[in-house]
Amino acid sequence: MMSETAMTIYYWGCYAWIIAGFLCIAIPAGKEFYKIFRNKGSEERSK
Amino acid sequence: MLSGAMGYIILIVFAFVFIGISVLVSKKFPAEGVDDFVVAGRGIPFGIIAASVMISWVWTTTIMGAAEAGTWYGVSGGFNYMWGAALPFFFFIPLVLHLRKIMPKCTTFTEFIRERFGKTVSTIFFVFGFAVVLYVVTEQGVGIGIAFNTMLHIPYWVGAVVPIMIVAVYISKAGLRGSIFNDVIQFFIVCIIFIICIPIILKTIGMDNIYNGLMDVVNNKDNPNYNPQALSMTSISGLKYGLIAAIVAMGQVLLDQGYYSKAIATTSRKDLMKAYIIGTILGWAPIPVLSGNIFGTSLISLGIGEGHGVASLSEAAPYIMNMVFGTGAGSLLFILMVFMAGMTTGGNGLAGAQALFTVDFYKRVRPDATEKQQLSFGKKVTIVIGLIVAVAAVLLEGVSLLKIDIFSGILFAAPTASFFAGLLWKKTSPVVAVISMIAGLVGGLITYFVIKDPNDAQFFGNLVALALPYVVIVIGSLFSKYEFDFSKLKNYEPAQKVNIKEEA
Repeated sequence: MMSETAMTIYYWGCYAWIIAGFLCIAIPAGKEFYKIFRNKGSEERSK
Repeated sequence: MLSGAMGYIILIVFAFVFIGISVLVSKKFPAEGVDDFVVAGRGIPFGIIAASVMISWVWTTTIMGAAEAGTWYGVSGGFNYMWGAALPFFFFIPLVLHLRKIMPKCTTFTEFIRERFGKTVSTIFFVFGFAVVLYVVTEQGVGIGIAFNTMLHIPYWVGAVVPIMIVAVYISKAGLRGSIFNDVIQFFIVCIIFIICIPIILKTIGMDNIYNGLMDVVNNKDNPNYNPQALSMTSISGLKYGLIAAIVAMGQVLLDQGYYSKAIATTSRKDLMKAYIIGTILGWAPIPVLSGNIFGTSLISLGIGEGHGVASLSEAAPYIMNMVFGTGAGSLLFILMVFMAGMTTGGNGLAGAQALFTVDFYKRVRPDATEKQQLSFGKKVTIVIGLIVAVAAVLLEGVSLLKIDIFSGILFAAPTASFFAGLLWKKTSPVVAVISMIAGLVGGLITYFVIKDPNDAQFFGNLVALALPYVVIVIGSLFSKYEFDFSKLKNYEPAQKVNIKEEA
C-alpha cells in the first residue's frame, strides 16, 4: 500500500511530467509553426 | 452557472475559429495535388507532428474514461489506462517506419495491403479502416453531445452534430494540413488548461484529504467505493483493465489511416520516430494518469460514489471541475477540454478517411480520374462522411457505448496480425491472411458469448480476437509455399504525383 509521501511524489511527479512533455513539444512546435508561416509570407511578398 | 446560450456561443465561436483557420490554411497553402492535400506534401516537421499526434490521441475518454478508471481502481487506474492505450503505438511506430522504408511512395495502409495481398484483402482492410473512422468519430460526437447536454443544457443532437460538422468542413477545406494546424492550437489550449487546473485542484482538496479519503476507501467496508487495492499500484483488476485497453486500442491505432497520414506527412523517418515517441510518452501519457489521479481518486476520497452524489462514476471529471472552479468556470473549462479532445480525434479520423477515399476508393471506381477530380471527390466525400457520422451519433443517444467498445475491440483486433505478417514475413499468403481474420473474429465472438462472467468475457473475447490470428498465420505460413517479393514495393508508383526525399 502506498504511503502519503509516495502518493504526494507520484501525483506531483505526474504534474512535472506533463510540464516537461508540454515544453518538449510546445517549443519546437511553436518555432516550426512560426517558421512555416514566416517563410510562406516572404514567399508571397517576393512574388 | 453556464446557460444554454453560452453553449451556443461556444459552438458558434469554435465554428468561426476552426473553419476560419482552415480557410486561411487553404489560401496560404493551396493544395498542389492529392499528395499535398492528404499527407501535407510529406513536409511537416517533428514538433508540429508531435503536438498533433499527442492531441489527436487525447480522446474524450482519455479524460473522462481515465477519471472513471481512477474511481474503480484507485491510484493505479489512470496509470493502467495509460500503458494500455499507449502500448499500440510501440507496435505502430516500428511498423510505420518499416513501411516507409520498404514502400517509400505509400500513402494509405490499404495501398500497401493491395500491393502485398491483392485487391480482395485490400477491400477487407478498407472496410475495417472505414469502420474504425465511423466508430472513433461517432464516439467523439456522442461524448461532446453528452457533455454539452448535461453541462450546458443544449439539446444532445445539437451538441453532437455541430462539432462533427465543424470538423468535417475544416478537413474538407484544408485536408491533413488544416487538421494538423488546428491540432497544434488545440494542443496548446488543452495542455495549458491542465497545467493551470491541476495544482489548483490539489491545493483546494488537499493531498492529506485525498490520502485520508483513500485510506477510508481501502479500510471501510461501508464506503460506497470500498476497494482494498485503491492505494496499490499492483492491483490485479487494474492490470487486467490495462490489458483490455491495449487490445481495444491496438486495432484503433493500427487501422486508423489518420495516424498513417501523419506518419507519412513527417519530413523524415527520424523525425517521425521522435515525434511519435515524444508525443506519446511525454505529451500524451501524463494526461490519463493525471485524469485518473486528480479527478478519479479525488472523487472517491470525498466519499462520493455511484448513487452517492453522482449518478454515474463517469461524471468524476466534471464533478471535480465544478466543485473546485464553480459551475460557471469549471463547466466552461471542462467543456473546452472535452470539445477539443473530441474535435482533434474526430479530425484525425476524418482526415484518414479522406485519404482512404481520395487515394484508394476513387481510383478504383474511376481509374482514369485526374488529380483535380480526385481532390474534388475527396472534399465532397469528407462532408458526406461527416453527415453519416452525425446521423449515427444522433441515433446513439441514450445507448450505452460499453458494448460497442467491447465489440470494437474484437472486430478491430482481428486484422492486426495479418498486417504485421504482411509487412514482415514473405511466406504469409492472402488466403492465410483472410483465414486468420475470420478465425480471430469468430473465435473472439464465441469466447465472448460462451463465458458467463461479463468481465472475463470481455477480457478473453478481446484476447482471443487478437491472439488467435497470430497462431493461424504462423501455422498457415510455415506450411505455405507462397513467397512474396518485397522488392516490388520499393518501386511502387502511385497514380498521383509523389515527391519524396531519399532517406538512408
